[in-house]
This record gives sequence, C-alpha cells and structure tokens, in this order.
Amino acid sequence: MIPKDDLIREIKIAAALGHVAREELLQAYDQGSQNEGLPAKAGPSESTVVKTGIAHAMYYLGGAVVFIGIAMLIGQHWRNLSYFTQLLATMGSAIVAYGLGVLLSSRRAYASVGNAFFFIAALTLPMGLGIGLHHAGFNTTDLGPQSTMAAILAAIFLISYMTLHTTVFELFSIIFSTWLFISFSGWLVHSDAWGGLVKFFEYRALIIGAAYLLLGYQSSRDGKQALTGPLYGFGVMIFLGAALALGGSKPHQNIVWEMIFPVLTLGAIVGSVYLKRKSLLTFGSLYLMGYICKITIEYFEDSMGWPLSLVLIGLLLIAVGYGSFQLHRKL
Amino acid sequence: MTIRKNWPLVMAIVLPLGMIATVVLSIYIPVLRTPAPTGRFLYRVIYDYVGYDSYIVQDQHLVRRDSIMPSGKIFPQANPPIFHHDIATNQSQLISPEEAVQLVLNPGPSSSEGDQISVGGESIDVFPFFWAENSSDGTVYVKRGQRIKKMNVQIRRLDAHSQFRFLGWVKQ
Repeated sequence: MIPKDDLIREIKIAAALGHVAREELLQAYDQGSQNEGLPAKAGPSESTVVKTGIAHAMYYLGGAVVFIGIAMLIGQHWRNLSYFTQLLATMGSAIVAYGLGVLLSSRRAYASVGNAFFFIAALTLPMGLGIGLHHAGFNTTDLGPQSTMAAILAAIFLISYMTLHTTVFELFSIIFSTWLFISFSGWLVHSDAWGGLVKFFEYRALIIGAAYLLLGYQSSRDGKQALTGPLYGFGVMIFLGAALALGGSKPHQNIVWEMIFPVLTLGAIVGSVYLKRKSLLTFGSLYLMGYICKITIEYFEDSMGWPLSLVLIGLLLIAVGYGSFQLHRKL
Repeated sequence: MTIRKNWPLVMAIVLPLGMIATVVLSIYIPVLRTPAPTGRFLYRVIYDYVGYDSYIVQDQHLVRRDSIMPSGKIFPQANPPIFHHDIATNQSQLISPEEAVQLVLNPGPSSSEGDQISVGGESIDVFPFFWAENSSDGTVYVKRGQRIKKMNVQIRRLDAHSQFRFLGWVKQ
C-alpha cells in the first residue's frame, strides 16, 4: 500500500505532467469507494505487510549501524584526524547521505531506501555541526552553542519536511525542535538543560508533553499513521509525568497540582475513548494508580495506619484496573 | 481558515513559544529597570579545598592565615592564585598576594550596591513559582535584583575539583 502522502504527491506530479485527467481520477475514486473494478484481493496480504515492515526496519537499522561506525571512527582516531577529516567524515557524510536520499526518494521504487539515507543524515549532521562549533572555539556543552545547533537542525529538517513530506523529516523536526526548546529556554534562565531549576524543567516537560499530544491529534486528523501512536504515547507519558512531579511529595507537596492531577488522568482516560487510543488509556490508568498510592501514603497513612492504607490502595487499584480493562475492550 | 483547520498544530507551536515569551518577559522586563552590576571583587581558584582558608578578610583587608599545629608549630597553607575581577569589563587579572593585601575589601556577601555573587543557578529566581534547586556547574554569576551577569572567571567549569572562592568586594 502506498502511503497517503506519497500517493497524493504522485497524483500531483501526474496531473502537472498531464498524464492523468481530473475525470479519470474522480471516476477511479468513485469506483474504489463502491468496490468496483478492484481485483479479488485488493489489499496486501499479511505476509507482504510483515515482509515490507521487516525490510523498512532493516533500512533504518542499517542507517543506525552506519552512524555508529562513523561515530566510532571519529572517537577512536580523534587525535589523529585533522579538523578537515573530522568534518569530512561527519558533515560530509551527512551531506552525501542527504543528497542520496533526495535522489532515491524521487523514484517511488527506492523511496524507502531514500528514507534510510535521510536517517543517516539526521544522525550524522548534529555530530558534524558539533565538531564545526568545537573547532570554532565554542564549548558545545554550553546551552548557547547547543541552541544554535538545534535551531540550524530544526530549520533544515522542517524545510525538508515541508518540501518532501517524509516521516523521517517529520520525526527529526520534532526531535530537533524539542532540543531547541529545552536548550534555548535553559540558556535564557542561565540554567543547565536537565538538572538545574527542577520546577522549570517540570513545566517545560509539561509543555513538551502537551505539544506532542496536540501533534498526535493533528496527525490523526490528517490521516498520517506513522507518528500518531508514538506522539500520543510519549506525549501522555511526559505530560502526566510532569504534572505528577509538579505535585511534589510530602512535606513539599503542591496542593493545586495534586488536585489538578486526577482531572488530567481522567481526561486522558476519557480522551482514549474519544480518540480511540490505547496509549492514553494505558498511561492514564498507570498514572492514576501511582497517584492513588502517593496520596494514600501521604495523607491517610498516619490517620488510618499502614495496614488499612494498603487495603484502601488495593481496592482502589482493583477499581481502576477493572475500569481500564472494560474501556480497553471497547477500544 | 487554515489556522482553524490546523488548530492542534498551531497550538503545539504556540505553547512552547508562549512559554519562551513568558520567560523572556519575566527576565528582561525587571532587567530593563535594574542598572547593570558594576564593581570589582577578589577571588581565588582552589583545587580540592587545598588552601581554602589561607587568606581571609579581617578589618577590611586580606590577611594570610596559616594552620597552627597542636604543638604550636606554624604550618603554612598552600597558596592558590588570587584574581582581581572587574565586572564592567568582565575580565580577571592575576594579582600578587602583596598587591591583594593593599586593597580595602568588603567581605560581603553583598556589595555596597547590593550585588551578590552566585555559583551555579541556585539563587536565580525566574518566576515566583519556580524555586531554585540543585544546579552548580561551576558557572559564576553576579546578581543585582533580577539582573544576572555571567562572569568569565578563571575556573574550569564542570570540574568538580576546581572551585571558585570569593574573597571580597573591592571598596576602592
């Protein structure tokens, strides 16, 4: 089955070249929607889907192995390689891989192989930029140079995605934009990216999780299936994780976030039914269970005693588990 | 029409940008009202606490302090270098102990203008609801109100053994 984006792009090219008429397309659409003029078995067989999936996985695995090879080459011979050679091995490889990707993806038969080369470019280009900045005298662990690298990469991959509409570019646009958001906001407050100002990091994680959920929703609306699941999964995991962390723990708990959190988890569970997404249900249920344990230990352990608290936790977990199971069956 | 149709995408972009904008406003609006920190201070770069207290400020002057053993014998402490830092130019200059003891110093922590030295991000408040916690990568800042300036001190950042040791604000 041709991906929807590729199919639409092919139709646009065919229309531009005059190979297909509007009426022919409309007629084909009408016939297809009424199951007319289709072979007895129109869809790909299950074995074909599995084989294609394995082939695609091998392309990306091969791309990752190429990247590891380049990284090891640079790492092992760092002192022996000249600046030019280091740059050639990383930035040069990225440019060549990108060029090959463009070349291959222009032909539908090789589009998947082209994506593997885009994948290599996405992994090696940050390394090349890092080496370039390092030799220009910047400390690449500082957030300023990191923001610069992330901005350049995000711009390259966003423009590539808007031009070529491939999933690899969409994925790396999101990854590099996330990196840009974390490093640039950290640079603004003079804080290191991961450890410093814990509350600030938690609010940033909340924003990233919400953005991923929104992007997942946009993807599902657009009919793009490749990243919808991962965006919902990572989005809900990061969003609820950040919200739970903002609640803190005794004696530094934040009562506002502790009250908001169950509303958010229930929102995720209800949203899973509306959006038909099991990841929302799974993470919503897991976080709700964690929240029940946390609240019981924080507030009821002293008044009810530890054994009764355990009984209460157990009963509530059974209730959440049962509700989650029932919803899961309906999805 | 396109914005309305793609509202999840628009929101996914607006949310992080909104947070960045809020951070920028919360940092730079107070900064615009606060004059830049000025002044000069003395500091040392010590390694593994060697010579940590070999110089202290007493009666507004730097005084050498050697360890006295229980037997009464004076045990001279190591002598890490002393630097003089000008905040306006953000440059450090190595000075001799003889030059350093001539200077009139305020041991701080605040200078007469209200400037304070901060190591890492621990004393930086961005929003009222962010409170500072562990962050010490060795970066040294001077803080005046909400205005923060990173200092180019002679210290190896990210090296846990290398430490910045503030001595005092230079009064004249």
